[in-house]
Amino acid sequence: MKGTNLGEFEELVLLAVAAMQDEAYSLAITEEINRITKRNITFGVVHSALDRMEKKGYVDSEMGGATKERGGRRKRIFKVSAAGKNALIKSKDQRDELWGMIPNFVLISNEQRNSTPKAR
Amino acid sequence: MSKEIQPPKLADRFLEWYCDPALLEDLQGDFHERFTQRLRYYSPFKAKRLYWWDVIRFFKPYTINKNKNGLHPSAIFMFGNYLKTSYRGLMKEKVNTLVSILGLGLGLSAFILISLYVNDELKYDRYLSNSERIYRITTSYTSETSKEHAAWGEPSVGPMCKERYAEIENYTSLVNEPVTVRNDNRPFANSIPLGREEKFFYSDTNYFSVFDYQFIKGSKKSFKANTIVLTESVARKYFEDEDPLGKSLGIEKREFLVVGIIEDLPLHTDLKFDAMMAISNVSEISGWTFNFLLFKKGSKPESFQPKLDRVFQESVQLEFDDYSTEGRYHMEKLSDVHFGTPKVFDTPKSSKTNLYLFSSVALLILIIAGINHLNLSLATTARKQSEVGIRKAIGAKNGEIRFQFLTKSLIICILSLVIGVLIALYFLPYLNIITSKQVDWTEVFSFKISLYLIGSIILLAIAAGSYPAFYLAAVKPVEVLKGRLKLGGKTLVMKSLIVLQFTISLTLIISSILISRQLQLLQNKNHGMTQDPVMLIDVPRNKSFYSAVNKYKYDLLQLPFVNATSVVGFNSWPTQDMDIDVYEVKQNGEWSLKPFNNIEVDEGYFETLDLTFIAGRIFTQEETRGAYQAVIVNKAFVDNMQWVDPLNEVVVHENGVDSRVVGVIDNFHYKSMKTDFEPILIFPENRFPEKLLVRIEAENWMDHIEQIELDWKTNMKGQPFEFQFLNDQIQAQYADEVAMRKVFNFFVVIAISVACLGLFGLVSLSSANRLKEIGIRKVMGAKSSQLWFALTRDYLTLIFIAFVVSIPVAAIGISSWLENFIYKTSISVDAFLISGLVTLIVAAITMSFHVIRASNINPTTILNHE
Repeated sequence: MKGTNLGEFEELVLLAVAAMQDEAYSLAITEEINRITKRNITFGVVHSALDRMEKKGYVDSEMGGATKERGGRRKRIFKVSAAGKNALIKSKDQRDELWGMIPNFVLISNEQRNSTPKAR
Repeated sequence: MSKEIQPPKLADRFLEWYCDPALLEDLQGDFHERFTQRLRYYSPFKAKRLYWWDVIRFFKPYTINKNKNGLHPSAIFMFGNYLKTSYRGLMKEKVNTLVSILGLGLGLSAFILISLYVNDELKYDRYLSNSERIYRITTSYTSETSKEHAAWGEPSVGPMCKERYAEIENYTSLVNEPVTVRNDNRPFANSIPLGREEKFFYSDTNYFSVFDYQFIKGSKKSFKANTIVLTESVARKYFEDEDPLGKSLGIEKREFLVVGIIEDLPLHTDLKFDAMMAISNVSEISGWTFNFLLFKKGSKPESFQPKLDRVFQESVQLEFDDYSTEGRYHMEKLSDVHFGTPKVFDTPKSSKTNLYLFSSVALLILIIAGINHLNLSLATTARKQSEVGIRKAIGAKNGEIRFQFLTKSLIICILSLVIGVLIALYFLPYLNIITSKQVDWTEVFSFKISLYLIGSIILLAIAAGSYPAFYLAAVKPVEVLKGRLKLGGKTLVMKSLIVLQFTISLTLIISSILISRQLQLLQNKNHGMTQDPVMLIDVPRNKSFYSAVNKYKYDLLQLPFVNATSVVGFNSWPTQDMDIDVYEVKQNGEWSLKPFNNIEVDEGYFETLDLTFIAGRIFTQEETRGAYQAVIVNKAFVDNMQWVDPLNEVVVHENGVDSRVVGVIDNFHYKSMKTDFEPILIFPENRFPEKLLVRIEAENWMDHIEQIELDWKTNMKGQPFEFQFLNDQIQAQYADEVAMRKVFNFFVVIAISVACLGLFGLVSLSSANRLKEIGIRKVMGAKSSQLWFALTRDYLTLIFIAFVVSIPVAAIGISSWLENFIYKTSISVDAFLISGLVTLIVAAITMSFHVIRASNINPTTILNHE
C-alpha cells in the first residue's frame, strides 16, 4: 500500500528532522532543506509533508518553546519516531546495498568518458 | 521599529476561523516568525501582503477545521458532483422543474419590476452635490375651523434666517407663472409673441448658488437681476443654432439677458423648470413663493426648528394675530419632499400608499412562487430518500446533504432569475406607460439593483431549499436501506402552504375587484357640474388684453355650439388649489375672523359649469365690473355658518369691504372626490383673468375648437392659443388610483398564474403516484367524473379553506384603504363570491389536464406491472 515506503521528498524532510533535533520545527526545517539542496521549496509543501508523515506515524511532535517574534506562540517540535527511524534505516540499507553493487568505473564522470577514444 | 509592526489582523482572524485548532498554534507562530523575518528585507506593506498570501495558501483540505458546522471540506470538492446530480434530477422531472422555474421566474419578474419602480421613486431630488443640505420651508396655519399647510411661504424667510443665524449659507425664493415669450423690444402690447411657457420660474439671484446645477455656458456668477438661464432645449427652441449668450429675451413686460445655459433637468425632480429668470424682488410676482435654505457644511439643520419658529413669530405671526390664526414654518429636507404629505400649492408627490402597496404585492407574489418551489421539492423528497440513504452510508455527513440540496435549490433560483429578468424586460415598457415613468432597461443591470437581486435570490434559495434539505438530512440511512421508507410526515406542511398561497391569491383578487369598483365610483359619480366638454383657454395675464379678452368672450357666445363662457381669476376653476383669505363672518350668531377658500369669477361661471342654485341669483355685469360688492356661497358654507336666511347675510373681507350674499349654490366637487365638500366664497371679478372657460357641444368638438381658435387669432393678435379640457384635469386627479388599479390587476394575474402553476405541478406528481389507485378504481367501474373528484377533492378542499380565510383578511385590508375616501364603495358579498368562483374554476381547469390524462389510461397497462 502507498505510504509504506518513503518518498524522496519525505525522506529529505525526515532526515532534516533527525538532524535538527530540538530545533526541528516546520519553518526551520524548510530553511535548512533549502540551504542544503539549493532548491526553493515552499513552507507549505514542507508543512503538509510533516502533517502527512505524522499521520503515517513516521514523526511525533510536541509543543516547544515560544518566542516573542512568534507572537507568543509555541513551536511544534518534530521527532523521528521508531517507525520513522526504521523507514530511514531501511531506505539507507537499500541504497547502501545498491551503492555496493556499483563497479568503480561506472562512476567516472561524463567528460572523462567522452575524452577517451572511441573503441570500435 | 519593526517590533511594532503587526501582521494583518483580518488575516489572522481568517486563519483562526478556518484552521484546525490542533494545527493552529504552531502554524500561526510560524507565520508570525516568517513575518518578522521578512520585515528585515521587505517593506511592511509587502510583508503584510505576503502574510495574507501565506494564510490564503494554507486554506487546504488538511488544515480546515473539520468539526465546524458539520460541513466537511469534501463538500467543497464534491460540488461538481452535486451540480451533476442536481442537473440529472432536474432533467428527470421536467414538468416539475419547468413549473418551479417558470413560477419563480414570473414571481421574480414582478419583484424586479416593482424594485425598479421603487428605486426610481427613491432617486428624486438627490442628484445635487449639496441636496442633503437644502431644506424647503413651508407654512402651516390653523384657526378654529380650518387647518392648512401650504408649500409656499413669504419670501422674507430666507433673508431673515441668513441675517440672524450663522448656519445658513444661502437662501432662495422662486415662483412659477405661465409667461408669454416675445422676440423684440417693442412695447408688450405690440410685440409678436413667440410662445407661451408654463415652466419658466422667477427667482432671486441666489438660485444657482443653492441649487448647484452645472453650467454648459456662462456661470452662476453672472446670474444677476434681469438675466435668464435657459435649459439646452429651450435655448434651441428660441435661438436655434445661434449662441444665446448676450442676447436678450422678452418675457411678459420685462427684458432678460441670457447669461447661461444648463443641461435639461433630470427626470427625477419635482421642481422642473425650463428657464430661471432672476429679478430683484420676487414678491413683485407673488407674495408667496417656494423658499429654500442651504445650510453650511457640518451644521445641524435638525436643531434649527426653534430658530425658524422665532423668525415666524417675529414676521408672519404679527400679521396672523389680527385674524386669530396661528401658524408655523416647517422644514422639509429636499430629498424628503417627494415623499412628504401633499400640501396646498405643492409640487407632484410620490404616492406612498402605492409604493407600500406595490412592494407588499411583490413580496406576496414572491412568497407564492417560493412556496411552489418548496412544495414541489418536498413532494419529490420521497424519491430522494434512497439516494440520501446511500450517500450517508458511504460517509456523507448531514451538513453535506444539506449543502447538496441547497445547491439544487440555488440552481433553480438562478435559472428563474434569468427568466424573471427576461419577463421583466418585456413588461417594463408597459409599466413605464402605466406609471408614466421613464425607467431605462439598463437599470436592471445597475450595480444597486443587481446586488439586490442576487442577494434576494440567495435568500430565496436558502428559504425555499432549507426545509427539504434539513428534512432529507435527517433521513436515517439504516431505515431507508432496509426498505422502511417513511413517505408521510410533511403533507401537513404542504397543505398549509397551499392554503397560504391561495389565501394570498384570493385576497389579491378580491382587493382588485373592490379597488376597480371604488375607482369607477369616483370617476363616474357626478361631480355636481356639467358633463359637456369645457375648454380652459390660457389668457394673457396683462391688463392691456382686458378688453380683447372680453370681446372674444362675447364673440364666442355668438357661435351656435358654444353654450356658455366665463373669465376666471387665480386658480378659480375646478381641480385647482383655491386662494385663501381671511374674512369676518357671522357664525352661529357670533362675528369672528376666519380664513376661507375663495375664487374670482364673472357672471357666466354658473352657466358654464352648470351649477345649481338653491337660492338667489347669479352676478350682474355691474358686479363683475366691480361696481357693487357681492358674494355667492356654496351650501357647505351656509351649513358651516349655520345661517337660516343666507340671502340676508354679509361677508366682510379683512380689508373692510362688505359683500352681500346674493346667491347660494348647491355643493359641487371643486376638488377630487377623495375629499369632502369645502366651504367656498365666490366673488365677482374679471380684471385679473387667468383662464377663459368655454362650454361647447360634445358633438363634433374637433371642428368647434378649430372655429374657436380662428376667432382667437382675429381677436388676440397672435397671442399663443393654449387650452386644456376640464374633464382631463378632473380625471388627472385620479391618475394615482388608475395607475394603481392597472398595476394591481397586472400583478394579480401573475399571482394567480403562479399559484395555479404550483397546483399543476403538484397534481401531476400526485396523479403519477396514484396511477395504481386510478387503475383499480377504473376496474371497479368508476366514471371519469368520479375519478376527477377523487383526485382533486383534497386540493379543492384546501382552496375552500383558503377562501374562508381570505374573506376577513381582504375585508379588513380593503376597508382600511377605503378610509382614505369620502365616498366608499360597499364591500359587497358578490365580490367575494366572484373571486372564489373564479379561483375554483381556474384551479379545476388546471388540475383537469392531469386527471383526464390519468383517467384515459388503460387500467390493464398499469396493473399489469404486478
